[in-house]
Amino acid sequence: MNNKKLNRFVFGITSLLGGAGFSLVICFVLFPPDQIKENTVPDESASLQTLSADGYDQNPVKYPSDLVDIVALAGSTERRVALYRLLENKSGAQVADLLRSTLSASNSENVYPVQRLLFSELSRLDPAKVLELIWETERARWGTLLEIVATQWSSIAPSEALQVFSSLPEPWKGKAIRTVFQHQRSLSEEELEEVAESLNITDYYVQWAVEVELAHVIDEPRTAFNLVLETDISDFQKRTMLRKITRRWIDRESTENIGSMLSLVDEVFNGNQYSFWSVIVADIAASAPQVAWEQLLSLSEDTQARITSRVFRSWANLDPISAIQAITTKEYMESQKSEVKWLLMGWVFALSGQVLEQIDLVPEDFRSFVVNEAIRVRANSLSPSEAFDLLEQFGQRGINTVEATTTFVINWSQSDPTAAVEWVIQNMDKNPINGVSMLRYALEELALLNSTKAMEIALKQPENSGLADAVIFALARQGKIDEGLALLPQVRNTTNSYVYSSIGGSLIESGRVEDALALGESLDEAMRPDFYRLLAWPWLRFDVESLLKQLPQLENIEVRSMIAAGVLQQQELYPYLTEKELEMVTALVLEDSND
Amino acid sequence: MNSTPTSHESVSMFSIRRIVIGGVLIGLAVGVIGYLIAIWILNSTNLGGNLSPSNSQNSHLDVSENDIDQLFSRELSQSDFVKLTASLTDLDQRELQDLIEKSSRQSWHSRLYTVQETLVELLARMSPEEAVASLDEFAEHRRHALLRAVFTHWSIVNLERALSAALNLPRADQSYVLNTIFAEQTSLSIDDLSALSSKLNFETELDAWTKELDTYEMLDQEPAKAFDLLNSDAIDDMRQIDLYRQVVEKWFQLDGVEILPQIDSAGLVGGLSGELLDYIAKKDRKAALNFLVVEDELTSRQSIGSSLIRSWTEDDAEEAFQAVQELPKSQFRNAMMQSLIYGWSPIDPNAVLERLMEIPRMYRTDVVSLAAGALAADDPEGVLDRVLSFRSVPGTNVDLAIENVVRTWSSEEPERALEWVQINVADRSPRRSKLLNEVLPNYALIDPEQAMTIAVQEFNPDSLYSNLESRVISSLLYADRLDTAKELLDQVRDEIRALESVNVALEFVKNNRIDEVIALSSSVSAEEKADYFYWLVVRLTIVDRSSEIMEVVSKIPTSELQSDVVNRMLSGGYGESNFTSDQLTTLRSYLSD
Repeated sequence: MNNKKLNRFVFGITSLLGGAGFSLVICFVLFPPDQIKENTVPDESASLQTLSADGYDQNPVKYPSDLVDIVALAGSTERRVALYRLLENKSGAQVADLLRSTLSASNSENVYPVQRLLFSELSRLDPAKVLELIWETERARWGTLLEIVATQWSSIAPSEALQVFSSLPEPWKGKAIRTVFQHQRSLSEEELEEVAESLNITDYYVQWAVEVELAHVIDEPRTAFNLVLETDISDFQKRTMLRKITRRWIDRESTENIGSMLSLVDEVFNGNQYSFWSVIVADIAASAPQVAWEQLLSLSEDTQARITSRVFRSWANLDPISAIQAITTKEYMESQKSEVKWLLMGWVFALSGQVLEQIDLVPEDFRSFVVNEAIRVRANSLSPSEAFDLLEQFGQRGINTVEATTTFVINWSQSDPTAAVEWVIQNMDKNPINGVSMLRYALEELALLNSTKAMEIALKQPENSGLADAVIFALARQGKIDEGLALLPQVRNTTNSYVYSSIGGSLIESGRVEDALALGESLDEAMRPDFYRLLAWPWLRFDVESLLKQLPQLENIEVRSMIAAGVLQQQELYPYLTEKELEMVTALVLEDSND
Repeated sequence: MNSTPTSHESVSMFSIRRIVIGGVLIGLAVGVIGYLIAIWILNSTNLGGNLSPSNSQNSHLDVSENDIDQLFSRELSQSDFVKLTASLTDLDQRELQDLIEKSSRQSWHSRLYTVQETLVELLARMSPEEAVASLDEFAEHRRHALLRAVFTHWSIVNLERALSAALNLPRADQSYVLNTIFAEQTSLSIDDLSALSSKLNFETELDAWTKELDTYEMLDQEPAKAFDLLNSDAIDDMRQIDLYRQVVEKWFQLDGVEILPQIDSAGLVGGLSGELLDYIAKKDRKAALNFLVVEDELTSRQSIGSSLIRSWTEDDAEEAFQAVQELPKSQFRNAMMQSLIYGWSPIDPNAVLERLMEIPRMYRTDVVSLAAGALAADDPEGVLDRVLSFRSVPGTNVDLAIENVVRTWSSEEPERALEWVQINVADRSPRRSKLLNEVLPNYALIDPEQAMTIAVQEFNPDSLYSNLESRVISSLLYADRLDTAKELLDQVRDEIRALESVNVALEFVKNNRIDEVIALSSSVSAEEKADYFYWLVVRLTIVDRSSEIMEVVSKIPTSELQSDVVNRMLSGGYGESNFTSDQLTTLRSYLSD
């Protein structure tokens, strides 16, 4: 009986332990610990529960191992984890192959995020390779991908990254170098500066360093402005940083403080460096132009004098009618009339093509000026017929358009000198005051295009107009010496020695002394003294060594004397010669010389 | 005894079977329950030990400080990193926010950024608004990368809300984020975005983006056209600088430095033109100079060359000097040398003075003058002594340099500058007049009476600068001290009193004090009265004061004078281009028969 009981007990315990052991084995197989963990932690997103790393190992269906399937995963974190698992133990070449395979894939919604992860991971394995792959993507993505690559590369080998990036073209070079500076941590500032110097990218280092410093003081505008102004970076970079400070300042400040903001800007710059402060003032004023205009009155007179036009221009851009009404009140005109003219320039610019419609708002004294400005601003966008129609309409309102007509013709001459010349000749009697000056300008432009034709037309004008001379002067100014030289014999006004000396001087300046002297020999006897006297000046200035060498060797002692006399005249103004040289030149002047 | 089992034995066997089966079943149940309890306990322990997501929101981060430090500070193996990334998915919103905030203060390791991005990405899935808010503490460059993670997800889930949120970001982040959305939204067409842009008001940003895409389309084949496209659009050129750089880079690869004049003539503003020209020229400055030296279209080439030389001088003046000297003799070369001197002398005056004898003679006066001007601020008297030592160097007109120094000095210390001139420069010499001409305008602002006395005493008919009184009057007028200027007119020599009276009268007109103009005419001799009014109205035409001219003419004391002045004005050609038809009619009415 006791044996039986003992047996039952043994059987019972054994069965119990066996059952428990068996159940543990089954449980472990069917419900691995991590899976149970996922299911026991409360989570806000059901999809997040499926992604434990170990679960991935044991459930390949749920956690894809194929890149295409990974791209197809809806959740970004799922993609991320799956991709990291896929890349585990893969070589750089393998990752590069995977990445390349995505480049030709269709642009599904998720392919870009996966590519970014691949670029990031490949940067850690083979940064040089990944750089090549960037250029195989759409150009619009280069910036983002380069930033990712540079960030990762900078963590591994910043010096090497900088070396490679320093040979990239812009803007990628600047972007990548800046990213390395921002993210690397293994080099000290001194070491980084040394590397930058050795790679000839110190400019980039300086710019980055000031950006770092600026980040600390950007909310202290005075300090921030001064920091930028004192840094050795390009003007363009300075302007960009100054605008960054300003925009942040505007975002932070209330419009009620615009007056004090403008005042601070004026204190910092004190009227210097216009190209910088004008941009800052314009940005501040543009945030609330009318308020800025009203608050200007509370500032010092000096400050007002300096910044009024910029503030007004911002206002005119936004509301040209209110803006002009503010400066044409009786009170404003009485106290600030001299300023109004200059303010109107900004108004015209803002109003662009509608000056005619609003001309009645302009004080009578400044209408002619405003029309001139309006034509100047629009000259390049108006056809000649449109421009003359417009001028005609201004004229019908009693406005003087003489200056505006000249302005248009000058602009027109630059694009179509032939037509401009023809128009001026046809309308010469309608423009007795400015006709000749318009024709001169147009002919000078035509001369650069077709010097023969320009001279032909010039010669048909009255001799005292000096237009043929103008053609020669224009050619000399633009370095077309041989064309000028060829046309010289046609010039009728042989008393103007400056025409010949302009070409002679250009020849000397170009090292063609012999040609200059030959030109002198071709001139009338009466013209020669002046020509040689004037020739002395460029010869002395531009080629004193050849002057001192060649002058004594000139066979014609009269020519020698005339040039020497010219040199002595110049020596009184500019002491180019030493005493010994002066003695030599003085000795060349003939005693009976009138000079 | 072999026998079949009895019923009692059968009962006993049945009982044992039941015991075994029961035991196994109970064992199975205990095993399963025990396994689950063990796992639960294990998981609780693990969570506390690794990332500590705890039910107690108040305490778990404190408890797991060491773990978090480990998370952010140690270099992780790839395997650990993968496991860690997977584990992060267990965190709730609060925990993610706390970790993101902590991560912003962590020292950097190579996986920190990846972990940060994962955390932000996870938070963005729960609450993109909170994800954006959690990035406030990050530096700009880091914030942008993390904003990209947020908005890439957000714009896929809810584009309109993402765009609205982007438009509310600070300006520094806005463009970056919008461009990220535009670039990363592969499933959206420009038309889709365009419809939203007018609704949410981001047309400008979208326009800039579409222009960027248009530019890319033609960039490789036709960079010149791409350049024109950028130049002709209405988008702020400053924000397109990177695009411009890509375009000119490609253009340079095709056409070399020949693109310089085309960039120059494009009319880019805001310093962009200079930046691009400098960028291209820097690639091969010598080649650029040799291209520009061709004697054609000289004016524009000189302008480009001058900016090239200025930049080169700042980088390496010696190298620039050498390059200019190697250019062939030409107008261009001379212009470049001039630019070099003007750039080099003020920034390194001592170096350039040391090289004076190597610099061609025609530039030496400018060198000494500019360098002396730059050095004068610190020690004007010392600089004046040094300048005098260059008198024997050919090509150096030291008088011009002295003038430059005295001009600078007198603007700061007019009394000392005046004293130096009076002591060191010979009496009645033209040089003395010239230097007083520089000093007296500043001195007049301190002591106008004394300045005028000196101006009168120092009159030197042999000097081109004999009208020193005029400089005193002009200076006072420029400083708006009209009444002082008027009072001093009595001391002005008779020969120039009428002319100086006109200068004063002109300012009275500008200040609406026309009665003073008429009163002032009484101090002008009868013979010069007509000249006085005529010169005044001519000066007024220059400053567009036709209304005031009409008023002045109407107040001229006698009709004879009126007629004389108007007649001279109209016959001199000042009528046709300065007055309206009505004003001309009125003016003609003053003419006597």
